[in-house]
Amino acid sequence: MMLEKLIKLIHEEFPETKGNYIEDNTLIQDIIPLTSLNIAILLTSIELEFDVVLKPVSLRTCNTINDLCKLISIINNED
Amino acid sequence: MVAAYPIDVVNTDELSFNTIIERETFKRKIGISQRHTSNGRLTAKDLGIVAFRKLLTGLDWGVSDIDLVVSVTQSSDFAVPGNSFLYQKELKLRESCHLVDLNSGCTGFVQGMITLLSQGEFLNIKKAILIVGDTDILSDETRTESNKLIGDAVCAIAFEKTDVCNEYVYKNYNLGLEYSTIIARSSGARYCVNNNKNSLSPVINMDGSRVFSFIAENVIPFLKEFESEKEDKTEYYFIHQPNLMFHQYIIKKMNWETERCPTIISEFGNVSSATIPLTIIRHTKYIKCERIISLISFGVGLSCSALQMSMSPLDFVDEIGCLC
Repeated sequence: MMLEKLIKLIHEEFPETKGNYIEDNTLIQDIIPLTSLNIAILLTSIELEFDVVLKPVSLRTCNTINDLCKLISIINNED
Repeated sequence: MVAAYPIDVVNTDELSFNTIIERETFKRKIGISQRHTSNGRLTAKDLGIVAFRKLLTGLDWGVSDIDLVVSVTQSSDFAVPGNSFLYQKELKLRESCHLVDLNSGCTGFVQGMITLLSQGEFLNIKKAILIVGDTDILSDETRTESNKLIGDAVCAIAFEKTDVCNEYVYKNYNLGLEYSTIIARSSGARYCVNNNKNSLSPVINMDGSRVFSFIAENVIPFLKEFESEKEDKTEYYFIHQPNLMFHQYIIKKMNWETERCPTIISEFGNVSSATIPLTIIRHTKYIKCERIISLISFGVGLSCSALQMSMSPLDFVDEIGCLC
């Protein structure tokens, strides 16, 4: 469920990824270059969707979509 | 209230990006179509002098009427002395005129207003001028993304004591723990302790992602407290706009109506402490009668200020495009 929401969010925030098939083991760097702007977009949209404030450094530790999903889930449960 | 900004404009379409996608993402999320810039040819003081003069003419005030000047900028002509003394010299303000300089960025308009109002009360000031704003001379050109955000603008705002007692609600929040998020690291005495004085540089660096964390973790809870503490309902919110994405984020989290939160980001970019007054100038149609407004600013420090007040229609409003 969370994975589906995250993939939908990425497609919405980065329309250029709509042609890409994103799954849990897709490398984030392969679909979104992690520039400062793109990191800010991800942080903002994830906070709005999941009510989770990620640190930029935590985001950079995530290689795959699944890693990011797990991170959001962990922080969600901590709260 | 008068705004002065360079007449020259940089259109975002003219800027270099690594890819077309990057450009489109920038335009869509940051929301800046153009910025006014002097390309390093004008300082905040240059624009401030123009705004100050125009304001005095428009209100038919003489320089000898001014009892207090509060200058807010982080791009003053010199580290020492502050710009207020240069305004006094160039405009021939009275020698007994009170002069105050605040070194502040995006939070500066509200901080400047509070300083002016409290000093004005203490000193029984009749007429005062607040001058706020920056030019982009000090941004870090090697950081291409932040270098595309900042526009040049300075606003001069006149205050006159009246018999009407205006009540206001003010709240502030400061997080010095995160002072290095927006910093001119190679400036000042601390840098000289361990480095060659000849390598001093006033260039300002900003970590945009950490600014977002500050907004999400500190500014939003602060604003929720502010909202819960005031009795009157705000009719219009004039909010500092670092970029469109953060602006929309704040509005969404606070459940404020977009129509009540006017913006200028598309045409001016992030214009530091001049953002709020310039937004008021651009949207004076909202203040055709007495209104309850809230002014929300946040930035370097890190800091955040919120002020709710009633605002009557302004006596004089103008904008001046300055030749560079």
